[in-house]
Amino acid sequence: MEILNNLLAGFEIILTWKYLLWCFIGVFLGTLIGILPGIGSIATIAILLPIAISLGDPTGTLVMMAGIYYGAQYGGSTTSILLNIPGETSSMITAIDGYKMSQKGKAGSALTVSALGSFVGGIIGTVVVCFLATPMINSALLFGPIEYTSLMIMCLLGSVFISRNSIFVGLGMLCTGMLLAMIGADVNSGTHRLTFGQTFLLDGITFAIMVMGLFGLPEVLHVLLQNRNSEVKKNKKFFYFDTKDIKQSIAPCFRGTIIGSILGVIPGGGTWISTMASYMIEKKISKTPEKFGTGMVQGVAGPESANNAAAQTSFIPLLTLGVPFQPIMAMMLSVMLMSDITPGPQLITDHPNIFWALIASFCIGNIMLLFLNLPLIGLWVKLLNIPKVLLYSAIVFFCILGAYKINNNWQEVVYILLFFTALGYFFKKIDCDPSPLLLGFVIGGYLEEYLRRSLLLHDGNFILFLERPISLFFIVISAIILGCLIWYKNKNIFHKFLKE
Amino acid sequence: MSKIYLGIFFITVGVLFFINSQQLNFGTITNIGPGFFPKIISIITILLGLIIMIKAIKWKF
Repeated sequence: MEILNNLLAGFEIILTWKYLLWCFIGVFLGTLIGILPGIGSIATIAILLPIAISLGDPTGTLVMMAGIYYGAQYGGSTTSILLNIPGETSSMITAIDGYKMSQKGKAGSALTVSALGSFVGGIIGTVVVCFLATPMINSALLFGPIEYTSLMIMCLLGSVFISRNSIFVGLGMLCTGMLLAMIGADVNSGTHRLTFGQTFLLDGITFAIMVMGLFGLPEVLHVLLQNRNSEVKKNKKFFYFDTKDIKQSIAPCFRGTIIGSILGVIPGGGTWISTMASYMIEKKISKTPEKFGTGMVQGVAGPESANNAAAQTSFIPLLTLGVPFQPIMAMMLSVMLMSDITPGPQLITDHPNIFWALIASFCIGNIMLLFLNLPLIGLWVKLLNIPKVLLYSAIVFFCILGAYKINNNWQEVVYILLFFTALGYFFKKIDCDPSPLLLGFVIGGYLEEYLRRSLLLHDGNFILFLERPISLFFIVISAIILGCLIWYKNKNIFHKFLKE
Repeated sequence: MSKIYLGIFFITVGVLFFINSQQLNFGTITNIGPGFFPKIISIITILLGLIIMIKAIKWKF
């Protein structure tokens, strides 16, 4: 009952014009950028980050950020169904059968199933967040610095696991991110370190500008420089859908939701692992597994629900433990810190209205997206026919302007943004996933802080990490993740899966 | 080829940060200083870069 009461209080906050408008702007802009071919949800969030931060109201910023996130996911599945240009790994799975369906003239069905599936996944995922939050917070209250240190090691290794890189490249990315995080003032001693003699580095690297350079602009430039035709061919039956397809997708949809809800919470899980798992399970239990890959509606419904359910439940570790398990949650964490909110077990007691308003906004955002996507899909398709140069140049311009607005510092924009854009473009060119860098950057500082604190409190006793049960549990999981990474070695699990 | 570039990149990053962290205090195991993390992590980065490069070169020939 208490949960229901809290949730109602959350709805009371969200259902005011101000927050509804911000939530709407979030989902709208998220869909707008996310639907553009080749731009994934990390890039979308990176591009729109300055807008959300500039609101100056923590609740509003978070509501908008969350809206942008699942807006981007809905948008991403639309492009992968219609154009087969997925912006990220999780929508690649949707593209397999979704694009084949649209080639067969069943684009309407595919889009409807994908939107409805995402909606169901999103709503059930939100319910899971509601009920799991309180017990998770109660267990998180038992954590000391030692537990946090092991937890962070676990989620750093998890981020290497979910990236598409080989183990050494992933670890290298992670270390680079941690090194970048150390630029600026040291928390414990106050000394400035690793500034390379530059004054604009004294306060450290501004997170928003870094992600925009590393993830946002390179993807935009990559699409801009690539001459790929993104015209959507319409046929007469484009917007019609079959009720048979909808009926067939109900069961996969719920199965996908369950898989997504579970895999979203655990480290090394997240959206693309859960979409992959859902697709494989649908293929296994199907009576006609050989038809997968030729436009099966189950291959769209399951992964799409799994994707959105995982997107919601991946908020749980962030909101309750204060530790992000996925790159996108790392961005959410930074946004929270920028608005002076520290996520973690204290969040629900210190800022109960922000916590419950955010959860209420998950529901509202998903409902808005359903309306934004189903009746208005024609509008989004028209958007894809706007000349690419015009659209993407405008985005680049707003990016640079937004990057400037964060600190009103041109020096930062010129050096940091340029440097990271070049770096991000380099990573993109050699097909390397920089997402562990992001987690290393966000968690690296904490890891150092907690490691220092636990060693200081316990006289440098390393064995304690293995003696405390909770810490031991995290270390064991880390070892398992590391074992899996070594097992797969250079074999790219994902590409192997796609070939099958 | 791309792996070799990536290796060079990691080694460069590691070396740059290692040189810059020279004047920072390493501290002791009970009270680690501001130089502890940068030094250790930059050495690990250099090692990873080397491994990536060696593997890429070995694979090529």
